[in-house]
Amino acid sequence: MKDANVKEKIQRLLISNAVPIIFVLLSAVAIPLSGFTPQYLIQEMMTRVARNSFLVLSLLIPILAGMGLNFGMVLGAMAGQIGLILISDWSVSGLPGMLLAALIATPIAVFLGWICGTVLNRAKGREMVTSYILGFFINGLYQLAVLYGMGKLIPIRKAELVLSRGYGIRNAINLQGIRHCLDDLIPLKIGDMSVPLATYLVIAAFCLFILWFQRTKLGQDMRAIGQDMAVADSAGIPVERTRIIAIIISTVLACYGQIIFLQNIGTMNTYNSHDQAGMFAIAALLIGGATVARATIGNVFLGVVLFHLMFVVSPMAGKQLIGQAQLGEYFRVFVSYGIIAISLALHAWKRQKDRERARRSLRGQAA
Amino acid sequence: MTRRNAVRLALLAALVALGALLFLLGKEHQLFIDNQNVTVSGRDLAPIESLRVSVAGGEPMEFMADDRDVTVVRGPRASIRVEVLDQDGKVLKTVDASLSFSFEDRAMISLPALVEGLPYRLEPPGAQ
Amino acid sequence: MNDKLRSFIEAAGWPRVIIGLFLLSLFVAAPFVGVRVDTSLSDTLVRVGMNGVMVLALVPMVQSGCGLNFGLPLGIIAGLVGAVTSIEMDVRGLPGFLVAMAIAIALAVVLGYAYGLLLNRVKGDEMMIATYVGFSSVALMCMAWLLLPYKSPNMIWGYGGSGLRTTISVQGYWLKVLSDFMSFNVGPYFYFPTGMFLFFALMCFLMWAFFKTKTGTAMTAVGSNPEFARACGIDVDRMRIVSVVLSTVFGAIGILVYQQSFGFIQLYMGPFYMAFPAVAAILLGGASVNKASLLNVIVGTFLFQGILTMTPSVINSIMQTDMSEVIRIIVSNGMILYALTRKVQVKR
Repeated sequence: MKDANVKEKIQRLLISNAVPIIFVLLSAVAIPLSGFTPQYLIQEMMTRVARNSFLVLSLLIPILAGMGLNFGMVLGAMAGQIGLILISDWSVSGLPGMLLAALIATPIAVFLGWICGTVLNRAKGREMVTSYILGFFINGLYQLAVLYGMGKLIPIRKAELVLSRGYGIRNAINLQGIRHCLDDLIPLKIGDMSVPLATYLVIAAFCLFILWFQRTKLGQDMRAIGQDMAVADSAGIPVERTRIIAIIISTVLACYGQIIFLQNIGTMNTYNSHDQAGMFAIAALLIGGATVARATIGNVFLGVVLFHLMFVVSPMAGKQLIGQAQLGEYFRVFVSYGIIAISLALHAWKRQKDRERARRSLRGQAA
Repeated sequence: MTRRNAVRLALLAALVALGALLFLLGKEHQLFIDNQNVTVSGRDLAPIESLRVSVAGGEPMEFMADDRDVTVVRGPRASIRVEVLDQDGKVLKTVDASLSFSFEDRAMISLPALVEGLPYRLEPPGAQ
Repeated sequence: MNDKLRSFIEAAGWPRVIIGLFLLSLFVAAPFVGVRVDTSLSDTLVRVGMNGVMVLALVPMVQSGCGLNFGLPLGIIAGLVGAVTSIEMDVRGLPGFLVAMAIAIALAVVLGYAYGLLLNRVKGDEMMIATYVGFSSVALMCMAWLLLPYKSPNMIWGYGGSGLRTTISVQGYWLKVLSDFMSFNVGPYFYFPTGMFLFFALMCFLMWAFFKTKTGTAMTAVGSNPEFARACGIDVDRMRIVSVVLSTVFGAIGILVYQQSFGFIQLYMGPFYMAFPAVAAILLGGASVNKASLLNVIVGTFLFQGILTMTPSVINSIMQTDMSEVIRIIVSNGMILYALTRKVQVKR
């Protein structure tokens, strides 16, 4: 009897953590294949964790509120980018420049988050697909504003930001002015490796904020909505409004996350940077073992490390294995999307099984 | 006006003020440094033969007569150190000054005027 | 008269009426801004023919309650493999096209079956998973295109490379083999691809006929009320799998029709986003997440492709800029958003 229990426990552990386990195995194979030194990998991981964690953390609150993966975080990324375009135009640089970009982008992010939340409230039960499409839609509006409006309707002073035809922002903007301004704020070197201490402090502060938030009334309301909307509603919680607030918070955080991301990279791809922000953040979170209904801070960091490890290692591993680095690139894309598909499928499968079990017990049969 | 609205308005004003402060602190200015003929306070000043200038503790720049150079300065204040050199490169005279800016994109200073202790801010080149 | 108008609008739905009027106004405005109406009309019709079968492919899954098939790329991939293999076998003309179709359909049945099994395990979340299954399979095929042992010089990278090129021309093989069949021109600017339309009509007829059969009606029953269908003795899971297979097969056929008109086979990331225009079209035609008819397909494809053809050319002429891509993004995604946010009856 006891053996069966232990076996069942192990089975359940494996299934619920299937995704990170698969990933660890994949990495264990690919890392030696790629030929990178441990030192290089550790330095890369430190940089990437500092760069990407904030974006991934912004996904936690909508999951808490039962709204699934917030594909609408690209809206926040777009708001952040608009802020950065403006400060680049005004030649405001350094840490004040970055903070000013965040300050300007915040109302834009709040507005976009409000739109996203309102749209999602009208698509209950289909939040993820809707936020996904909404991301594309707003991307279209963003391109309308940035590729056509800026320079014509919105005055841009610096000629080097503008395309040769006279209006519209260039494809790549040099953010040299704010490059590493947060990372290098508190310089720290361990041996050969430079550690972006200030960024880590900001991330740590944000983690504390999330932990504190979950204890506030608003946070508890969101958790209640996440568990059961109908029950929360009858308990007097303003469901619609709270959901919108959850999305707004997530969007604003994604905005800041994108600014942190770009200050590390130093160049902004005006029309592409935000696309990948959403995709990679969600893939990372799922790889860390989070599901659509439950995500912890641990999932975030584990996921960022595993995802980026695979990201860095697969092109070289692909090259060694087959002789084409291009293969590694496609492998990376395949794994990112495949992971999301597998995670979503596992989660949905579990939910279906739970529902069937509940239905059978209602019918009076053994589960 | 309700108390709540007053608080919100105050908060908004504070944010705008913060924005202005950040703008001031982070604004980059193109500083033109001029070593040419200039008339200031009724005096005609000639360019100085050989100078070394360091702005905000940065790389020293060499100036001959009639030179004009440009550098980028960030923030509302920048220190400037001007050393007048003789033909062997020995320092004859050192002048330390502090420049202040607000929100402008460009500024220009005149080295002859600065060395003489006269007002040294000029109109920067280029229409806005 | 007023009553008739009102009932027509109610039946058609405001969005369709508004879009229809918008499209009409574009056609009216066109000559005044230097855009030829006959070219535009011809272009629109060609695009309707090109995309129609892929939009049609969405119907079975919607009817069976599997939602909008964002995983259409899976069927498209089957079609691509068929096309590429047919060229590798160097079969030209109509036989080449038929060989491509045969291979594509065979592969689509297999892929569709596996896909259907997956969707049966995730009832209720099909759309999200469909999207990512579609994406991952495109990415997987990206690797495959590099590795598969195709040798035809028309398709391989030059200078002794291996792996397929990104874009492969079908000229000389089966370019326009359907479109040109019995096609006619009216003046130098109007080209009517009769063959392609006949084929599209054939596909529509097959779909219509299918839904009149016992299997077809069972499928619709499963979509509208699975519990009731089960009580009637219908195997819900089997019906869903059949719908997925059907959808994938039509997707494969659809991309072949598209390619013979377009002239190129687009590999690698080409099929990545191809589900979205089809979804936008059918939703624009009045379909919802769990109900779609042939009328939705035809009206929707026409309206959607019309907007996509006319809006950029008219606006470009007015504003002297090329905004077509951005407009395409805004319009197609706006359509899908509208449909997703409509209040629906109990879905599960």
